[in-house]
Amino acid sequence: MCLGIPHQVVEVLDRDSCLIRLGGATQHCFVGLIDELHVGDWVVVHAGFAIDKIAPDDARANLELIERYLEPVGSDPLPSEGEPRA
Amino acid sequence: MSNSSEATLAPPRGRSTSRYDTVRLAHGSGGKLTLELIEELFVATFSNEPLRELTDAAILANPGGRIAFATDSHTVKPAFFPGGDIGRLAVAGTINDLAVMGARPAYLSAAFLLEEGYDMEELERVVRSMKATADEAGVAIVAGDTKVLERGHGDGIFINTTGVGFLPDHVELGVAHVRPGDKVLVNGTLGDHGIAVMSRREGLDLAVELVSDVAPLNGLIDAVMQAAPGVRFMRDVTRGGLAAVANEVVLRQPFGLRVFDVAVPVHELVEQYSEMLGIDPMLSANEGKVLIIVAPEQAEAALGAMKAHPLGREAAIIGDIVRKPEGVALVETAYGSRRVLEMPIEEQLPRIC
Amino acid sequence: MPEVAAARSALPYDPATYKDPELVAQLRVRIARLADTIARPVKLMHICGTHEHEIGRYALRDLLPPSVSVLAGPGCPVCVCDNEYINLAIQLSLQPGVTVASFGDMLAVPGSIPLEGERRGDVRMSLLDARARGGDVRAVYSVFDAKKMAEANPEREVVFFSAGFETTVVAVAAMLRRGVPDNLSIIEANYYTPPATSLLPQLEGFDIEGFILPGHAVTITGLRVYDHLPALGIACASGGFEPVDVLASVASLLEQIEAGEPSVTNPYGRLVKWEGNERAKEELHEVFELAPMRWRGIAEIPASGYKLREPYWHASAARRFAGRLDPLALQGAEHPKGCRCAEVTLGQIRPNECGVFGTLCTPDSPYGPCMVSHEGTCRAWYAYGMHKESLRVELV
Repeated sequence: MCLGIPHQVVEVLDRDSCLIRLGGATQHCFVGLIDELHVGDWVVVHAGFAIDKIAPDDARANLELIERYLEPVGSDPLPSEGEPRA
Repeated sequence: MSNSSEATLAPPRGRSTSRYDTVRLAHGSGGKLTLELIEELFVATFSNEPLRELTDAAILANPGGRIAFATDSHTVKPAFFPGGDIGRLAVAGTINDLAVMGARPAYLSAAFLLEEGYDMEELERVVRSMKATADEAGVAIVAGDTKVLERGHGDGIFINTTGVGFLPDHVELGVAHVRPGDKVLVNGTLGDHGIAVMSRREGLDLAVELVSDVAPLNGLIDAVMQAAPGVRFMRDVTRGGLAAVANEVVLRQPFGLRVFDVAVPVHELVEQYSEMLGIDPMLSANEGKVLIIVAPEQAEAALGAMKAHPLGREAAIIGDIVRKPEGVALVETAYGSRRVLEMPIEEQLPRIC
Repeated sequence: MPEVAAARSALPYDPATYKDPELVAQLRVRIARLADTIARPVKLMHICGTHEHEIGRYALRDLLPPSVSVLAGPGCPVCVCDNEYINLAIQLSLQPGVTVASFGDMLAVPGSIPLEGERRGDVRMSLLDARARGGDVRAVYSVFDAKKMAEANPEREVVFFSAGFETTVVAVAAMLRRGVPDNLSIIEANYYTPPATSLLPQLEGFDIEGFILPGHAVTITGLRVYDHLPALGIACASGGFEPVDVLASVASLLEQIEAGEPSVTNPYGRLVKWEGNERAKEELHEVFELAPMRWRGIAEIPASGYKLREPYWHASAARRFAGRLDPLALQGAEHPKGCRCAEVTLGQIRPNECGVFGTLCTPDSPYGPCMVSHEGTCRAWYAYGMHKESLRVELV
């Protein structure tokens, strides 16, 4: 439905706009729909505007949730596919 | 071709060496202005013996043996883009077509289709860029032609270049020589040109600082052929990107081509812009990249030769030729899963989804 | 807890975590184990074109056990966009003095205006065809680019083709609230998905047990808008777009199905909240209101699309140009016969069950919308849908 890519804020320009880091360069981004934005924050950008930010606590909680789904490889037989990488 | 007499003469202008600041129909009419343009711009800039003679055809030395012969017409919007311009593109494009056949490019012709009103100073920049690129490749531009299209009947500038190269006796390249187990190499990051040009297109307001990779590759290819005589096949990777070339290689062949996703070199900026715009660097255009298929025991030698060349520092072995699936180009991901590398169909456009 | 993950969780956020092959491998084990326990075929559905794209790009279906399938539902803006809007965009682009600015997604989609003199047969016109016939059509990256285009060309009317879901429409709302030049208007073709997902379980033969919810649309709306689905027996999990995210959503859905307790979980919680982005919702609902909307080939669904509220009618292209357009042509002809995109979009049939798939309808000559968009189910099947067997590699 909607492409969105995480980028880090490098400069807050005004209430509605900021610069985001993009592979060593920067790019303008509309951030008028996010409260309290700081340099270093991660935002997810869709078609030139940030749909929301990723708060550090939420990121940590997200990873903890995903870790609950992990199981060590080798604990279960998986259908083996593919050769060893070249 | 259209032409008409000119009633008024424009005053001489600053930066341009011409008396005219724009191209006029009379510059293509075969009369005085045409001769002036040829002598003052093309002959003066390209500067070589056969061209100076102003004969109907260039008379060239022939070392004997087979020749390679290629032609290519060029149009690019915008004509000047980060890292290059249509002139460099036109010269490098035909040189690369010759070089990937294993030939040593020697001579080029250049034909210009200019729109009435085209900026003369811009034309001079294009021509100087062509000369610089030809010099870089050790190739002479020995024949040419200019036509002027009425305003509104062209898109600024089109350039056709045709080239001749000499093919050493022992060189035999082609898909027929490719075998399962062969390695697939590229000389550097993919997709740079496509993104650099897209970043300058109207409507796409991108602050990208990426430059096109447009370059003549005959020097690099020469070095690879010396280091690895077991090269089976080469093709320059241009429009349609890696996906197009990979599919051309396997078309109706009794083997497949496997690309390892993580082995494909992509400039960090290209990767991130591609993600942002929703396009695929493997489908994005290049103008200074070659795909080389080489016998497995010589893959490291070929890679070393590329890395030692300025245009191959980020060269990589990106995949291999497999016996099955036949006729398919596929991508193997970092997760061991596989997908078909589709033949591109239409131009890539930024998407929301 | 695995060491890699332990080291990573020390960082607040690192995007690379969610592409980590080690985490993917460990999620695969969990999914395989859950599938074993469930011990019957399970069908899941995502409702997002970007999910289809990422699943295809990383060949994630290849990593699932044979008993677990993930289908593509009505989440591709190109596939669900009704002919009416495409025809409107085409007609406007052919008007003197009008520029149509659109996301690249919509340019190749045929509407229902027949393409005169086309040798391939019954082919309908797309915006690219309109451009080839002199229409002024531009691809833009964002609505802000369209605004700049309008500012730079005050003598022209710039019409922005506002397609997509809430993620996209919210930027349009924000822009309109902040003021735009008089010569900018929009085609209101934005869709709201929850009513369509409520429709799905009512269809005959519906056997989807879980939805991967569209992570970026629910970032705006909040997960709450899907809270009616568990009562219908459907498991739900928010879905991020990296390989780790997609597999985590699948694992979460299988857990719910295994337990027989459908709910709404949030494996994309670093971005998605139960209530969504409040500020974005406020601006969105100030400018737009929900209205009945036709989904291509499916039905008109109540309150499933965004239309401008009265104070913003001046920015509606349909209203602004009403007098200058041909209503008959807007309506267009019938959808090409034989195309079963609607059933494909609803997950009722697989693309290869459609009679024109791969014959009359191919990526280089698409007959229906699901073949046009890269995220369209038919296109994805055509590109990536070869059976696993045929991609089994033999070296020598």
